[in-house]
Amino acid sequence: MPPHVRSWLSRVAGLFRKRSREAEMAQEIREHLASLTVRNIAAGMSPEEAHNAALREFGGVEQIKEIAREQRVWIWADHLWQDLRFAVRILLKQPGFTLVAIVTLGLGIGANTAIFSLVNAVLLRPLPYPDANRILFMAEADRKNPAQGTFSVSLPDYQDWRRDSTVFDNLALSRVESATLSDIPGRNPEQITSALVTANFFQVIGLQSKVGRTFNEAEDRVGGPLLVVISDRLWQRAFQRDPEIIGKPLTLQSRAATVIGVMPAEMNSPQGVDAWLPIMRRTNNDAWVKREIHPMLFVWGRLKQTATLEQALTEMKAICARIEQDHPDSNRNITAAVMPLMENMVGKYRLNLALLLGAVVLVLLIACANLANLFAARGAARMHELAIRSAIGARRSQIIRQLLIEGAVIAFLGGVFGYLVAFWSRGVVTFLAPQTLSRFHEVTFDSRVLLFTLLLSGLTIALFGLWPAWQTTRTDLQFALRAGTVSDSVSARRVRDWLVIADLALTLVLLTSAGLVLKSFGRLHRLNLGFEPRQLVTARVDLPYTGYRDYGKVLTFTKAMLDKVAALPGVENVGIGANPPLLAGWQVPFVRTDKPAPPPAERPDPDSEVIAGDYFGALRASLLRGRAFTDRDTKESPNVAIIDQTAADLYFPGEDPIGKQVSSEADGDTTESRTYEIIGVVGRTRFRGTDDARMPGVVFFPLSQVHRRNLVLLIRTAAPPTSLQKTIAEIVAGIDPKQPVHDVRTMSDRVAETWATQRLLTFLLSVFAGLALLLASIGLYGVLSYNALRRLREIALRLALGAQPGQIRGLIFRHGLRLLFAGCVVGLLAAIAAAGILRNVLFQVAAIEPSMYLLVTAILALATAIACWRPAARACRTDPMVVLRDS
Amino acid sequence: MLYMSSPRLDRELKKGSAELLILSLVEDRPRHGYEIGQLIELRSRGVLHFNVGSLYPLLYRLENRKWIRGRWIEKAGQRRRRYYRLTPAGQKVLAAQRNTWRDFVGAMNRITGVAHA
Repeated sequence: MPPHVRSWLSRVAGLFRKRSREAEMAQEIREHLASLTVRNIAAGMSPEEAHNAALREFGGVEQIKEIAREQRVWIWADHLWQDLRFAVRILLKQPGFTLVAIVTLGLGIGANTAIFSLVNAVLLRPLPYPDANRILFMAEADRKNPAQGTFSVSLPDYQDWRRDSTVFDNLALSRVESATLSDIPGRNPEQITSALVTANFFQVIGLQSKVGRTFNEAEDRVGGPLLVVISDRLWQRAFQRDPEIIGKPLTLQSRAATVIGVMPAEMNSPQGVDAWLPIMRRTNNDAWVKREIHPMLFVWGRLKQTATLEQALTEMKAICARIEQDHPDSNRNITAAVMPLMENMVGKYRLNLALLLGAVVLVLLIACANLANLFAARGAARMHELAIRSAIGARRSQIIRQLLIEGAVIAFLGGVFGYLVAFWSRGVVTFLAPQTLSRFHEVTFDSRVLLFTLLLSGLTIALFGLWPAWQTTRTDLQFALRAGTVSDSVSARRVRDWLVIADLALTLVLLTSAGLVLKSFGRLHRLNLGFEPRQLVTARVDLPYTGYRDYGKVLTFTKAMLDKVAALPGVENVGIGANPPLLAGWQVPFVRTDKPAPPPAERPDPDSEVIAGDYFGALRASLLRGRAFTDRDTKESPNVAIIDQTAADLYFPGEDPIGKQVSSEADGDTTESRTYEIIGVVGRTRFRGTDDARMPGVVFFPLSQVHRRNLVLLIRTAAPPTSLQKTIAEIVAGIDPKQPVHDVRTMSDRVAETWATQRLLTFLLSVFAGLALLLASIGLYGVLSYNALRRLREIALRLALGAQPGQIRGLIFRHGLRLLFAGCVVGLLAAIAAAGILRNVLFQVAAIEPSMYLLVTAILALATAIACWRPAARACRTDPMVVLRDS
Repeated sequence: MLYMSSPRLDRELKKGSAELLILSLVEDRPRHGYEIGQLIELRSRGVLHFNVGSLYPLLYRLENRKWIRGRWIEKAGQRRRRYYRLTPAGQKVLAAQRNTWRDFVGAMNRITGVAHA
């Protein structure tokens, strides 16, 4: 071991063996002195002379001990250790102050840690795929209306992209479907999410199967074998990790697929998928080959090592421009939307999380401002002690170091408390978080979060410790020692006041933001959806094509299901929809036959819904004009359709749509265009979530005339869904034993899910604003109390000279009001500046609302009045004789 | 620290030679601090006098580096004292420092024409 390392280790050990080493050194030096004394006595000196001569010869014992000590320990570490022990002793002597400081700081740090852990899980944690930042997700978009969002890709477009692009190692295709999994021994049929993918999809993701293999390009073709790769989750859940799984059959959608591989647990793309099947087998259908049909296909690409995202964006836009030129009818204004996979998954949460992070930073700043004032006041109270230390030789830097170490102890303990608060509150946060993104529920308190907490604790020392330490030692300590007290400097008063003003300003910003977000959330709640989501239970039944190829079987099934469910006690209405509200997403062309047809790219494409039973009754949607579908609307009768008021306004402005004819390719089994007569208009129905700006209107078709097999049962009943789930499953199993029912939830739950992000933001912002108000009030109270204490002599003099208690009260209140006024002015300016960011998360609420500012100012005024009350009352009760005599 | 009658001795030379002196003195047998100080004066015939104030810091430094090791020993009829002895690592350092010193002195002699005693 090198000598300097040995020396280092020895010094570290020295810190912990200080007492024994000190004793050893003292004894050694005593023995040396004794030997010198004996020698001097032998030389003829008297014992006293011999001892003095020995001391003179040896030199300054304490100085030599100090030099010798430096060889055994690091002096700076030794001093630090002493200061730390002293700091802990001093803080334990003032438990009230210490507790308030730790809790104040802990709440601020805890809020930051909680939000950071969320940010870490959602935004910072990389995807569990190799080189994940090179995986891009692609869709199509209207380049003239980018606000309308993205939509899926057409198969011919994908084929052109794959042929023409040069920046990708691989370009893969995917389509997510719900699939019925049945014939598993000992298990009921269940619904799983499956994905049709091209063979190179797994190369794009970069993960290999952990058991078996994935399918190759030769197998991924029309007429190819039905192979399936399953997820680790499904392997565990349905097969108990059977090692013989490879080659076993799996019945999906009533067809036997052969399991050829199992993906590792970290494979979660597309999200929630449990089975991957070859896609090209399905491409021999009339719809998919049309460029204007976008059958929920999305594209995934892995960038080459030498290519960048910008190059990919440029190239894809150029390719789409060429396609647009070659196919103007179908591809007018269509361009590629290219983004990193991570951005696709979490991009829409970025702003909300950033706002929350900003809010907790403000809360922490308020906490630190409070602590700074607290420490400054405490420093002033300890002036006598510090003056004595200065008198016996402590340098200013040593005193500052001592005060900073006390701050560091508070910061460390505050950090520990904050970490625990964040850890305990994680359940609340994940409960309120959106269910659609699994990353929200993978919050862990890993080393990154711990490091964040430690760094934040360290930073707070600078924020609340430096100024008080500097301020306290700036005073003439010798004067303080003689006078027994210390005067309050103007600059110190000013800084204290400005810290409170900052508190009030930041609190105003937080309160107005929380108020606006709360108002926005209230608007969301009260939004007229056009239907009644409460007491509406939904259940999904996806009939497999292979078992229900004959559409008559579908109608028989649905009639039986409707009749049986309608007969259940407590059921008021029951209907069926293929794409009900919030499960929408199937648009159809919609062309008036009484006007010239626009080019395909400019055709209206409202949301389509295919219904049976008492659908409108179940939704409580109002029929405004015409009639609903009846049993007489069959395959043999004329084709009919109903539209909602939005579609009526958009496509029949100023006209009565009843009796008008439209042509549409609505049927799921064919691309043939049919003509439908509009027979009814229902009230405006909101089919999409509030985060989707598009409102293209809805057109309803009868299930008897337009083919759909993925169905949603809508049951209006007061009974809770848990009690109905088993009953519905039994009814469906009674009709078809192989048919599962899944995703049984109330419509209220589905609606609430669309607000999940806003709900999280609203709840947390409100909590943080409340915390800020509490901390700011405490800070204000502290400063006013302290000021009243410092002005005690002045107050006593005023009272002695005839001032009334009301005038004294006025002194305190005027000070409080001055702070409030300044805080509100600064806060309002800051709130207006922050309005721009807030605008993006508000729903039907303006970002700058004077009424909100007035309300918040009133709240702060009330808090100020409460904070002023006690110090003012105490000041009034001052006995001038006692105060003047004592001073 | 260690001084000669001539004040022109190099500071670095003094520091390095002090370590060499102490290591060589504890090579034969363990010695305590007072004895080391006395031996230096005795064996140098009064030419070298060790400043006591520097002795213990140096001993502790050498002990930190694990070149010497101190132990409290009470001998019959004597006071309890802390004796220092050379460690194996110190043995190697001593040998190296002796060689360095020998080379240095040899070079100085050759240049200055001083005959080897």
